[in-house]
Amino acid sequence: MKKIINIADSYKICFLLLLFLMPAYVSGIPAVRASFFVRQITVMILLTLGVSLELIGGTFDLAFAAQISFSALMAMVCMMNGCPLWLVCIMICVINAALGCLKGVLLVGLLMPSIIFTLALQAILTNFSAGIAPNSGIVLKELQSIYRERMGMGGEILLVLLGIVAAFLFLEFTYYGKYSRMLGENLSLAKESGLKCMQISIIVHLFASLFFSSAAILLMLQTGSSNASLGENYLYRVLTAAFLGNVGPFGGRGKVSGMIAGAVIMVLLIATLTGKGYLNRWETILEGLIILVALWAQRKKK
Amino acid sequence: MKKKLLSLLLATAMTAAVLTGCGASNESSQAQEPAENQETEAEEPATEEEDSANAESASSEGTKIGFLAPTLQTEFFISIDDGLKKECADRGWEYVSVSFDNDSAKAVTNIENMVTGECDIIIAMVSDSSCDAALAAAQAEGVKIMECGVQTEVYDVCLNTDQYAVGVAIGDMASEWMNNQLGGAGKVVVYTTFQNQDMQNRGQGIQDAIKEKSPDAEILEVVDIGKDVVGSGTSTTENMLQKYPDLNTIVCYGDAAAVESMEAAKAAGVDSENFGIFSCDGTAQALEGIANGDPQKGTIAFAPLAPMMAEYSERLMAGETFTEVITAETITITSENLSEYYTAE
Amino acid sequence: MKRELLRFTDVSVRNENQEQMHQINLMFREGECHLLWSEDGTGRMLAGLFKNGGRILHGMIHIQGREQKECSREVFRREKIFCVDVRIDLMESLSLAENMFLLRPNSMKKVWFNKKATRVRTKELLSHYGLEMDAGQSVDSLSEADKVLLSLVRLADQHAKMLVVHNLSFVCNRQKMAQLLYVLKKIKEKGTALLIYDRHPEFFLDLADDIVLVKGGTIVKKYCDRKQFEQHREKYEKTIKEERQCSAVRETESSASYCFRWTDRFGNQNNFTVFPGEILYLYAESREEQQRLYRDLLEGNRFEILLTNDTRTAVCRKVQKLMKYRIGFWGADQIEKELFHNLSIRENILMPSMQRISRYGFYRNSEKFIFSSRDLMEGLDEIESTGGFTDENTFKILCYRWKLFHPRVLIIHNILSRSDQKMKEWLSGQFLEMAARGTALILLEVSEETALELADRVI
Repeated sequence: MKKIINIADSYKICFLLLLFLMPAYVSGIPAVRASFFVRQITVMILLTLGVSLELIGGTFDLAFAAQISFSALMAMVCMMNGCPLWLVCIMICVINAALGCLKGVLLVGLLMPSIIFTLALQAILTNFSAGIAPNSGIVLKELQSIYRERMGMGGEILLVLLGIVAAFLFLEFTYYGKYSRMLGENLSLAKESGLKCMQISIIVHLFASLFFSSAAILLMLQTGSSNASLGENYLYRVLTAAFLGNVGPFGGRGKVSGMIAGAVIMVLLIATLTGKGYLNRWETILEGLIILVALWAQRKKK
Repeated sequence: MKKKLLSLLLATAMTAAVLTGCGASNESSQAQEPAENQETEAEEPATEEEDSANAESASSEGTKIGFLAPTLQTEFFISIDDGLKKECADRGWEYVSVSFDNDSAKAVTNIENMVTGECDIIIAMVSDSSCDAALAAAQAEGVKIMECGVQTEVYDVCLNTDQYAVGVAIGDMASEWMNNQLGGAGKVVVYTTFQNQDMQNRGQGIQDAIKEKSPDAEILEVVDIGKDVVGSGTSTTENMLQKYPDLNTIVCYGDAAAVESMEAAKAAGVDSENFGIFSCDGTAQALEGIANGDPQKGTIAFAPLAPMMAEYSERLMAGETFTEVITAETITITSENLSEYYTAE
Repeated sequence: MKRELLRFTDVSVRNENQEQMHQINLMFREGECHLLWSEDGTGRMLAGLFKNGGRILHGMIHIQGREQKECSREVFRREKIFCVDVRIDLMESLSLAENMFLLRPNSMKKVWFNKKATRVRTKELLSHYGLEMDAGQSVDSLSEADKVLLSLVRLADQHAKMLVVHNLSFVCNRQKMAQLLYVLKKIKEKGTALLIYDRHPEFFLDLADDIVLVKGGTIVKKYCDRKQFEQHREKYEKTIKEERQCSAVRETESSASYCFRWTDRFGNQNNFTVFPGEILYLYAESREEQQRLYRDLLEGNRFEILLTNDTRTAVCRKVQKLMKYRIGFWGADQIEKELFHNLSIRENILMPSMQRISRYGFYRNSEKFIFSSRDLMEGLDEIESTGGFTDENTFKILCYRWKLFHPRVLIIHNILSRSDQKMKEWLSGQFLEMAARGTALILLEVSEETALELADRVI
């Protein structure tokens, strides 16, 4: 039994999943096109970093996908009314930052269970998005050409590298990174020790919101559109990637390397499942199973 | 520590192999082309028909079709999915289907992954032009794009229907029934959606037809029922029945909402003979409702889309090009001609 | 002239358990050490005041000359008066050095965390206080004693004005005790005032400047002369021994026996047998040793209990099935958690016995009959009249619970070690009664003289 537990260690789950994907590649599913892979992995890593930072800080965030679509939709509405692109990008950052602050206050100030308040926030934002826009979706095709011309693969790689470095520095070399681990592990002890938990929680969520903003901007540019459902399907994918990367809601633990590994595995897994035609039926089943196994392994290890 | 390092090294090696495999797949596809050219050169002396037949079979061999649907939870899209599966099985083609659940980001990812999965043709039932860049990238990789339902700027063939005309057909059907059954004094609620321009056009067609053909009928409300969420038809109908006690006609843009409305109306105890629900898609549930004498009185069916999609896929693989949009036929089904299209089990 | 840090002037205060202390007059100066000696729960109450706070009913509290309206934990913490007890929480996601420097109110303006500097500074601190720990190590491998020592060093580094030390000998073996005393001495030399409350105050006599005798919710006497105090103590303990009479005659005529067998982590087979009515003491010198014994016994491999009587033998192989065989276990790490606070006192006593009273849950009819028997629960009226789950009441309610349940074997884990002298005396009487009625008692206590005196056999 102990051997099985060791094997099921989250870090090694990544390794096992990679082994599972190997036959698919050996048997003839070809390598992903570089540009497709880079595009998908950029968004996945940015979202995984954001969600993982929040998980480490004690927030189980179910609202990030709704947050992304809401901020992108607001930006598109403003663009339709003549706002320049740079301004709407700032607007997306501000909206995500405000929502991040709200999460920080609710978590520490009102001691609400994060899974409950983020679920409520998700419902509010999704339906608000669907209600306020003139149509459920807005399309501005010129954004796609702007993305191709100005961003491209190089821009995506640079952005994701910046994100990884920022997350690594934040977690390992700043007080706030350490404080976020403390908040996630034992909030009452952190309060007793005299830490200003509310301020720390707000700062952690603000930092995480930068990643969500980047992802929202990328998705908006890549699709040239936004609606109430934009990015909705990333919810379980990103949570699976985070748990796969050994970031869990049980104690302020998690490393950037794990987050990247989880994101890469998820992108490869989705690509393989789509190519094989199993995505529709198996995606959510597999994601749920992976989450359960990863959480069980983390709990056993604890 | 050593084990973790080994895992990380293996993961990096895997990813590197995955990325460098692009070159291998390009080389292999390039290697195939000269072989194909040699084959066609050798076949020159054969007759033209034999040539085209051989070319068709050679080009459609090992074909893989990818179907991208907005959702695979409603009967309309499920029937297309099942139909395509059967058509591909008959032709010996591979088939994959994915839904993007009205999320453009997921649609883009799915298109990219279908290209990675070596689909030869992608049948994209997109909602708008947000996937154009991804479709263009797919075309650049040599994948043929078939659009259905919505026309954007990136496609090799487009199967579409004039949605306004479809809406007019639904409205005509409803007007005829109101004039015959209710003496033209219909109290109507229209269920439409503003998801995309085509659906808006359909909704507008419904309203215009009712106003023209049944001037005495009153359109009480035009409801945006939103995306195809299971349950929205039921809840909306319950609200409408409460709000308008004299409501006697519901005209829906799709069978999914119509079938739910029918059940809600029956549960509310409406007089089935003098209550009419009209819609579009021609699903089995709607046809069953018409057969059973339920409030569902008529539906507009499209000519089976799956065989049409398969046929045009074959033609695409044969190298045919299409400049005009292909229009799908529609059939008005009511109790009068139901037996031609539906047999009770 | 030493600076005054804290002064209680004629203070009457009530704690969260509604226990009251009155007419407390105490002054704490920097660098002074006061040792609390308590014959009842008052010592614990006074030390607990600094941990959990209380409501001032009368009198004044001055901290550094400033009058305080509140007697709460936050006020004490703000004034750098900390309480250290055996329950120390550390952050397992951080290293030892990080725990040392992050579990404190740092400035929010600090952004960059210098790992190297933190480790170097931690190493310096640890060597100054004579602790051999690695600054970069993980804290989940630390023993409870190490955590306590670390906590003391951390608070000292935060320039604590006063430390209240609450029953730390509980987790220390001889070596750790010596380290603890050294650390406290260093802290005292630094100018921090100390207030020590412990079940074994004799360990701290060398450190203390004076000994404060508390009893009945008030301060009875202050001993500055150690010899005087020791005379008083000898007289008291002699009185206790005379009062404790093993009046119940315990006859083990039954041929029943209960044999415990287990395999420890080294693969060694262990066993012992206990008989009905016998009190067996499994002696352990230190908490670590006792915890090891406890884990091996109840969480180890191939654990089984053979229950043999005249007619048959039953075997219990799972800890979860102990109650089914009427083998009770009393003594969770936090004893308050053994009570159900949303149930009444009587329901708490009845809880494990309900199925035996009535299989289908109709226990109410029998309840009156059961509680009318005052022989079994003579102190119940007093508990119900005071109400509330105070410390003392908690012990009594749990004891009545087991008396009513009447187990074959009762494993008692650190109950005596956690009790005051008065409570120990009371519990001893109760255990003797239970033994007289045929219950075998296994005492798992840390170096407890009372247990030694009570036990029929020690292994």
